[in-house]
Amino acid sequence: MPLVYFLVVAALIYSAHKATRVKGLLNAALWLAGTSCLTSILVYILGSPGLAVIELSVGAGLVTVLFVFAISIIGDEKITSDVFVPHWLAISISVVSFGMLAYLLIAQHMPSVQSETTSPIFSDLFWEGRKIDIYLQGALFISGILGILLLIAPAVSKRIKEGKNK
Amino acid sequence: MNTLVIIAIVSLIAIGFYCLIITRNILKIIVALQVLVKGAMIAMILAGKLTDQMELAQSMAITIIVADTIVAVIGLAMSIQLREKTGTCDIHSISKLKR
Amino acid sequence: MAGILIPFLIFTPWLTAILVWFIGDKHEEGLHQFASAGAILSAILSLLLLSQIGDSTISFAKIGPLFGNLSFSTDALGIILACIANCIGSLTVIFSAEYMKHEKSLARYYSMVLLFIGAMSGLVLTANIFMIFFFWEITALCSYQLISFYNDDPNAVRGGLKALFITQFGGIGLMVAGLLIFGYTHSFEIGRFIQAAQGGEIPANVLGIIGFTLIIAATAKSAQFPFFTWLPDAMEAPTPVSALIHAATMVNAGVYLLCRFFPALEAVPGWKMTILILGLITILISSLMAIFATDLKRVLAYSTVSQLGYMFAAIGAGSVLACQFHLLSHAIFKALLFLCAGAIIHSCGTRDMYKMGGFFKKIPFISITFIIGSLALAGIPVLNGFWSKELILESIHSGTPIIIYILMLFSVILTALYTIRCVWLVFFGEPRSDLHVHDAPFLMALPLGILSLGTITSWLVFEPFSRSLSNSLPLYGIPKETLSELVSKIFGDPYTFLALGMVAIGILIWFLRNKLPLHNSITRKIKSISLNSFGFEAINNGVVNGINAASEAIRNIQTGSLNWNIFGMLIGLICILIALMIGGL
Repeated sequence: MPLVYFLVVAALIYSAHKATRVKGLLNAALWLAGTSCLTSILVYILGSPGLAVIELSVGAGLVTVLFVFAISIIGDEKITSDVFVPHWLAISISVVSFGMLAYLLIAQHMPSVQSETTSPIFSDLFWEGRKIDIYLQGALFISGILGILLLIAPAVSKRIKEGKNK
Repeated sequence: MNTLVIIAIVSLIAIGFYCLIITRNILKIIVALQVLVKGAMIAMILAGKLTDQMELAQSMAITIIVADTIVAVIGLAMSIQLREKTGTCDIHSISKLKR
Repeated sequence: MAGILIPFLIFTPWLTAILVWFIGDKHEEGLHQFASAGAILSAILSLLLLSQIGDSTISFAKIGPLFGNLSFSTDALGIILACIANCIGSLTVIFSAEYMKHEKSLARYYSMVLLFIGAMSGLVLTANIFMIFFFWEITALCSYQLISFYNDDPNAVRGGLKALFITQFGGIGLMVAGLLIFGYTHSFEIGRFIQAAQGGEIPANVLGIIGFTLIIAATAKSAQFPFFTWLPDAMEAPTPVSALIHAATMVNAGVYLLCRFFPALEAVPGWKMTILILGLITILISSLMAIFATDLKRVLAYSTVSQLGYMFAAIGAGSVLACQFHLLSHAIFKALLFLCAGAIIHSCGTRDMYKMGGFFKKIPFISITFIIGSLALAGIPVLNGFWSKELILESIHSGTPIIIYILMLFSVILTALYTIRCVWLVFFGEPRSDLHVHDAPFLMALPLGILSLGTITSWLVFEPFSRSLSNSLPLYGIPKETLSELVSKIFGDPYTFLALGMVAIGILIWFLRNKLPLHNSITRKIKSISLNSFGFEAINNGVVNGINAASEAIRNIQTGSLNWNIFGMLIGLICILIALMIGGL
């Protein structure tokens, strides 16, 4: 059992690293899809199957499609402005800060919260207890998608026209 | 194995932040944000498992996924607009502070 | 009833300020009338509040577990100061309707003045230390905005920044004292603190630190000894602003702070003596500077600083009653003097006294009101300045070493000297240059008339004044005195006539100035030192330049780049994690 965890975690860290450091935006989007799949597997073996499905469909499905769409409109290019923070400083500060955080978590030095309440059924909690939250999120989602379609409509139509003229 | 998951969470967040410090391309920023939020989501699930309140943790994690998806959608649309208006994907081109 | 009046008293000027801002600069007539109406309404509300003086504390809402209650107290100390602030504020707003005619950005002016009046009422009425700090900072903001009102003039901007830095330095003292009080008594209520201090629950060294940081806050705000250079430079403000903020209300906030915390801190060894010595040094230095100044408003500014020194000396001698009575008299006659100076400057266009002269026949009304104010300042009998100054001198004589009393008598000479010099140079003698002056129009003359009536008669309210102070502040040890007791005490005391003799000596020195051997090297040296403000100007300029340079240097880390900002975020995270690792949160 720990072997499965170890493999999934190692693959997850590798694919996240590749997603951010690979050249070419399309490759980055594909590695991001891979990261989503691996987190979905990790969430499943941690004990939450419903969430794994949602993560798979949203992360590896919706977000990746949107990324590819946006990249096809924008296209790749080289960035030529100057760097503010040199590489070595960035690596060292990330490693130091999150190394300390990991140390605090693993050695149980973080302040912990005790749970007193009994846990209800998931569907009950989800649809009744957090009703307002869920409806709000649904409305936000739909309005966000519609708004974005409106926002990028001129750009998309321009590209289509350019494509036709060529 | 909880230790392994904690290492995964912290590495994902660290990789996300590192990419945010390094990159200047706006689409890479959105990729970094996605990686960051995936780490946070796994942390939520781990917390649910440790305190035996998986249902509450699942509903919170769904909220996180929704929020992060909306951020990605709107961020992508804004990056398309940035490209249309200024012709470049560089985030330093829109900053107007005197340096 | 008081529970309704107090919020109205604070919110009426604030609401008027917001509405004035929306009306904008285009409708100038309506702006003047609306602002005056709002100010007069709040003055009426404050006078109504006089009937509600009692010793209760009204608590409105809890601001949360950390900041205590939004509580206000109805004792006489606060309500009398609120009345002074609102009434003199309304007179100043009426005066500005004429003085600021056809100026630009009037909406900004009136909204800042009204915001200030509301904040001052809040400062003196509240019984929660955190709320005192909140209102204190609002008054500092309004003072800075109004000093730099003519923001095209670099002198005005510089004066405003200097006032802001020095008074904010005092604000640090207030914050430290407030945090220490919260740490040791777990509440922000002033009543609770006084109870704890008198009951001995707070360790003696902590009480000492609280006392001295409050002294720092009060001396910075009231322009006392180490911090006095901001007030003369604040005279770049329009004159009604000088009359309101820098004579009658904001600079009294420091004195109010010391009076409010008096019963808790009077037992701290050295506290009262420090206040006394600071007040005395301030009086002597600023009187010397006033004797040699050439700008009319600067003379009045230095005299404000020295009169505040008198109030500090009264607190140092232990008499809160004398201090508050002098505060009342000083607010009235100093506002009168500043408004008269404003009328003079408005009509002749210059502030330099050496260009004025012989105005008495040309502008009789302003001359008479100015002379009434200056007689009150010098301490001539029957006017209100005489009674309050004699009360202070009597409390110093009975409560402190004799050398201090002798120095105070010397300062009475200096006060009389600079007052008569100012009056003579402006109103009498031959005109020194060809300046055109005209008498005050009605809207300017009305506040001058009301204030001079107040100067002549305000000492008559001494009996209800002392009775209400003594009834509503049981812990402060204020004696109840009637008016006849006061008159007989002052006229029966031979030292009163000694003080009057000092005033006469001061006036005589001015008239005999050509015959006395005064043009020697000692007076020349004193003159050059006092023109340089005894070296403090250089120190304060150094501080202001240092802060400006530091701000320019820190501006370099605000790059606007996302990468840099996230980097800063991670540095903050490292600091938090180090704190967690070391001590545990």
